[in-house]
Amino acid sequence: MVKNKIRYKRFTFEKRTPFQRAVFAAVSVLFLLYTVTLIYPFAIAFLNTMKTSAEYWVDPTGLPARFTLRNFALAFSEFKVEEHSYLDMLGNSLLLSVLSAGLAITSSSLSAYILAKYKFRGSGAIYVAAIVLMMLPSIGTLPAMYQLMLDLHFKNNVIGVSLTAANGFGNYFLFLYAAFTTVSWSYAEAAFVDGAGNFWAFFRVMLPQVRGTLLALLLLSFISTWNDYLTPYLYLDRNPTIALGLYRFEIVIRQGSANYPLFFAGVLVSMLPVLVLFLIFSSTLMNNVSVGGLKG
Amino acid sequence: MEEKKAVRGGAREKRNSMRAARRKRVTFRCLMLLLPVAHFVLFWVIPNFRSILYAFQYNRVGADMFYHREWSLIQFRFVWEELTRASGNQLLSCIKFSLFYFVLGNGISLPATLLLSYFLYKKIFLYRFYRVVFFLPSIISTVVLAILFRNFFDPVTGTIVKINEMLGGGSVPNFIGNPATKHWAILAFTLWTGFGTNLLVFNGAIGRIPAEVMESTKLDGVGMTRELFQFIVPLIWPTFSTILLMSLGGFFSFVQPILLLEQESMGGNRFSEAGSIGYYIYYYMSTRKELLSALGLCFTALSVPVVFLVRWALNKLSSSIEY
Repeated sequence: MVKNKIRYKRFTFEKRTPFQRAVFAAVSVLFLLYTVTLIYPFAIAFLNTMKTSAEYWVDPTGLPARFTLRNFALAFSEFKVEEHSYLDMLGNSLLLSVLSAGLAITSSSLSAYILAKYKFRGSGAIYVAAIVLMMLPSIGTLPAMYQLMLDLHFKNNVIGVSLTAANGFGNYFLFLYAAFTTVSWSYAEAAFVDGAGNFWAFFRVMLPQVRGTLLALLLLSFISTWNDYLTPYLYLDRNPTIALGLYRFEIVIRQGSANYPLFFAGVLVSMLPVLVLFLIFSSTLMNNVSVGGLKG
Repeated sequence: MEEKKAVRGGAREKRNSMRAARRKRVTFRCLMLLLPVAHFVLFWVIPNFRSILYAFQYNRVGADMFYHREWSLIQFRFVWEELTRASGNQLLSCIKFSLFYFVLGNGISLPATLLLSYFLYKKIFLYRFYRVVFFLPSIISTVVLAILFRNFFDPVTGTIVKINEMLGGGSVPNFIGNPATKHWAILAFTLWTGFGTNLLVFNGAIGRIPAEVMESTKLDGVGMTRELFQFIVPLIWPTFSTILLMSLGGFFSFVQPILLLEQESMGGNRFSEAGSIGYYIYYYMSTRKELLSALGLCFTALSVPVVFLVRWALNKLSSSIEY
C-alpha cells in the first residue's frame, strides 16, 4: 500500500509526439510563470533591504543606490515588537518548534506503532475512531480550548503551548501508520528471539526502519510550527514567536512610521532557519512523505 | 510420580512465563499509548465536553447586577436568529464565503496539483528545480508570503503600479482592500500558496506506481490524457480521496488567509466583508463563546453525515488498489 522510498523511474525511451512536445512547451511556460511569481516578490524584498527608508518611498520597485547588508544587521537590534527583541522572538520560535515537533512525532510514532503492529481487542476500534475524528471538523471548540489553556496556566507559556502539539492521532499518525505497516514484523521477531524486550524492539529495531519518514515528518512539523502564527496569536501574545512578531510589526508599520527596508530584512532573516533546513534535507522530505487510503 | 510432578511443574512454568510475557505486552501497549491518549483526553475530550456545556448555558444578569449561569436552549435560538437576520447578516455571509473559498479553492487547487505532479513525474524540463520551487510556499511562513503578496498589490508602492504603468493603465484599484474584490484576493492568495504539501503527497503517490505498469501503457501507445485519467488517477485514488476527505474540515477552519490579508479587521475594529465561518469564530471568540459552541454543535451535526456520505461516494467511485 505504501512504501517509504519513492524512486522516479527511468524509462528507456521517452520519445514524444509533436502534440506532446507542444503540450510540454505550453506547460513549461506556465511552470516558469508560476516560478517567477514565487521568486519575484522575494527578489524585490531582498533588493529593498538594501535601500534606506527614503530611497524605498521614492522607488519601491527599483534597484538600490548601493549594495549593502546593513539592514540585516540592524534587524537584530532595531526590529522590536513592544519590549520583545528580534532575538527573543527567534528564541521563542526555536524553542516552540523544537518541542512541538519532538512531541508531535514522538506521540504519533507511539500510537502508530502500537496500532499498526500490535493487534489487540479494541485496536481496530481505536484506529477507526482516530480516522473518524480526523475527518470530522472540530467546530466551535476554540473558546473552550482557550479557557482550558487559561485554566492550565499554559497561556504565554511556550512549554505549555508546545504540549498541545503532542497529538498522537492526527495527520502525522496517518503517515507513520502507513510507514510502520510496510515494515516486516520479522525484524521485531528476530530481536525477540535474541532476548530483546518490546521497548528494545521498538526503539532499536523498528523505529530505525522508518527513520526517513520520521525525519521528513519532524522537518514538516518543525517548519509548520515555525511558520504558524495563529497558535501564538491566541496563546503567546506576551511571548511572541517570530511569525507573530512579523504579523504585529507589519500592522504597526502600516499605520505610520514605516521603515520597510528594515522590515523586509527582518522578514528574510526569519526565513533563514527553515530554508537552510529545507536545503539540507530536501531530498529526505521529497522522498519520504506518502499516504494511502483511509481504511476502517 | 516424580515424572508427573516434573511435567506439571514444567507446564506451570510455561503457563507462568506466558502470563508474564502477556503482562509485559499489555504494560508495553499501555505505556506506549499513555502520551497519545492523555493528550487526546486533555485537548480533545475536555474542550469538546466543555463546548457542549457552553452551548446549553446562558448568563443572565440578576437583580444583584451579577451574572447568573442558567441551563437553557436559548443559544440555539440565538443561532437561528443570527442565521435569519434580515439585514447585516454576518453569519450567512460567512457561510456563503466559506462555500466560495472551499469550492473554488479545492476545485482549482486539487486538480491543478495533480497536473503539476503529473508533469513533474513526466520529467518536464527543469523538473528537479520545479519540485523544490513549488514546495517553497509550504516552508515559508504564510505571514511572510502575505506580506509580499500585499506588497505586490499595494496600490501605491506595489509592483502592480509599475505593471499598470507599463500597460498604460490609469489608477490602480485596491485589489485586497476593496470589499467588492477582497474575496477574490483571498482566493488568489490561497491558490498561490496552496500547492506545496499536496504536491509532495501526490508526487509520492505517483512516484510509487510500479514502473512496469507505466512502461506497458507506453508500449500500448496510450496517450497522455488516457495515461493520466485511466491509469494514474485510479492508481492513486486512495491518496486522492484521503486528501479530499482531509480537506473537508477546511470548510469550517479556513481562516489564515483572511486574518493575514484583513489584519485591520481584527481586534474588534471592523468585521471583514469577506469573512468565513472560521473567521466568524475567531472574531467573536472572546465575546460570544456560548453562541459559538451552540453554532459548533449545529454545524457538527450537519457535517457528520456529509463527511460519511462523501467518504462512501469516494469509495464507490473506485475500489482501493494496492501496489
